[in-house]
Amino acid sequence: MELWYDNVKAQYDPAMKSGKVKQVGINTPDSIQGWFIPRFVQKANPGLKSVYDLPKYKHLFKDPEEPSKGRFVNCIPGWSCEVINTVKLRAYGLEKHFTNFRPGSGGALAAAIKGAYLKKKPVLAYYWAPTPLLGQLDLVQLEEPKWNKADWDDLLKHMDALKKGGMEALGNPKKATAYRTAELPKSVTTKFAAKHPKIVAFIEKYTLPSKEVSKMLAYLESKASGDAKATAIHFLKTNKVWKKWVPADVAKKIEAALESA
Amino acid sequence: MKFFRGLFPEWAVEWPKGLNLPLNKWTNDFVEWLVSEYGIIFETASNGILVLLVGLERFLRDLPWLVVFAGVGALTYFSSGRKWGLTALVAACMFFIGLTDPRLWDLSMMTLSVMLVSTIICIGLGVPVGIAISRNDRMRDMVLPALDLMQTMPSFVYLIPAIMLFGLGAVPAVFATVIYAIPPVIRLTDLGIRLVDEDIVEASDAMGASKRQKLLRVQMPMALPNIMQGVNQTTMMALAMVVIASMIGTRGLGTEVLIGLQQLNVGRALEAGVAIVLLAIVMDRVTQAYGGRFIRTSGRD
Repeated sequence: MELWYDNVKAQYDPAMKSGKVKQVGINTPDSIQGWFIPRFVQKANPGLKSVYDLPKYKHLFKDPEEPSKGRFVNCIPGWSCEVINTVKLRAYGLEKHFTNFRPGSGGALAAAIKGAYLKKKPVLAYYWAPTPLLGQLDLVQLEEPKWNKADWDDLLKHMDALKKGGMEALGNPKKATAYRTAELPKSVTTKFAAKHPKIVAFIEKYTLPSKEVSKMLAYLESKASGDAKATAIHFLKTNKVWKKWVPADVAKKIEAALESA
Repeated sequence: MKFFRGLFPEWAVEWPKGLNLPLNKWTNDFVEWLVSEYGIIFETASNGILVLLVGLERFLRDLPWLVVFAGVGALTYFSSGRKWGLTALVAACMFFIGLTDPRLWDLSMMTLSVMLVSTIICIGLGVPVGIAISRNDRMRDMVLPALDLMQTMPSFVYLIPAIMLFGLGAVPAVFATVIYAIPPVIRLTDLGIRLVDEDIVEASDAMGASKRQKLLRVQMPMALPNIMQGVNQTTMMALAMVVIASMIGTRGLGTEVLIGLQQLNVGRALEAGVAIVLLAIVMDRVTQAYGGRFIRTSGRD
């Protein structure tokens, strides 16, 4: 249902043209990626707001393996975000102040952020939403120059060079921009849509901000120990948005069922 | 099957939902409590290992490659009892690592430093534990199942909490490597000492050797070939953890394999994989040569 359109554009566009699939509304309107720090770090250091403030505060994020620098915990090696962040480190002039630390896997990245957070220690890391981690922890995203197509395309060019030729080929990017907040649309096959108009009508109306999704993912992980059904019931009980997604009579039925559950 | 299932009452067919030990939640709560209350202490303690590691890594990377190359060659030559063939093999392996890709030499030195530190810790902890359980059967009965557990538990299970405690990087990797690689040295120390001929032990008793003398002068020297075999196995297992260690951010050959796999760059992964194998051959031959020397001396006596 969730479609990362930018990633599958090449396959998706022809399928849509030939009428095999169609898009039905937005799943999460605000899937974000960026560089995060815990909110308590920003509270203690109110001057730390954007990526350009980082050199002044590098001592907070001291890399124990290279104590003269701060540590930026990058994305998982081999993913596009890892390469993009590497270009950004140079473009924002942070290379001489921060080590580009690759955590190796998603689990390690999440554990590094959560471990530091629980210890009340500063951490600077790339992360994205909707994710359970952003639902559990109070992190703030550092400001970056606003997304614009020209600078982003320039960044992508440097990214390609880096991918092909390594650090020597990266060149000297001067500008970079924030990640674009992505709308994740939903998609169904046309066949399915013709067969099940009622379900598709529901799917079309359903949409949830990534903050809510993260919150529920966090509940699923920590409170419900992975029980998806319990999480769904919790969502229905604590939220009202879903009433707009279904016809009034169905909403009543659900409410009645919730009361007995 | 349906008929067969029908023969049983319902609770005996599907596992009852109520019969569910909330180990999941307990563990999560415990880890969170441990990290928030004592995390700082763990992190401070880990800095000691880190200083050692970073120092060794710097040292190995700053040394001219020719010095490392010649040093390993000389080590093999003298520890193997001046065998030219073996020395040539080890030297060729070392040479080939750099030849595959010059970058791999640097990465090998990083991997080597993590491995050496892990192996030193394994020997430092493992040999005393092995001696202790060789003298006490009850302790042995408790330690051996623990070793089985350490070898079978998938490492990611304890790696993720280790990252939360120690922070990202080489320290949790050393921690995981020690857990995985320490069993052979413990087992073979225990075995080696138990295999020492009882008549000889009795003879040393008869001559009035103290417990300490008996251990250091009789049992340990005679068990050394076995202990060295254990050290050899431990080194090999430590090397096997390289890729897993890279998944928690330890720089080295493992990272290359990982990136190669994630970008579907099979060639890049293979180059690093070959380098790991070559490094393993070098470590294996060097430790074997050392062990072999003890076998020869004890044989001559």
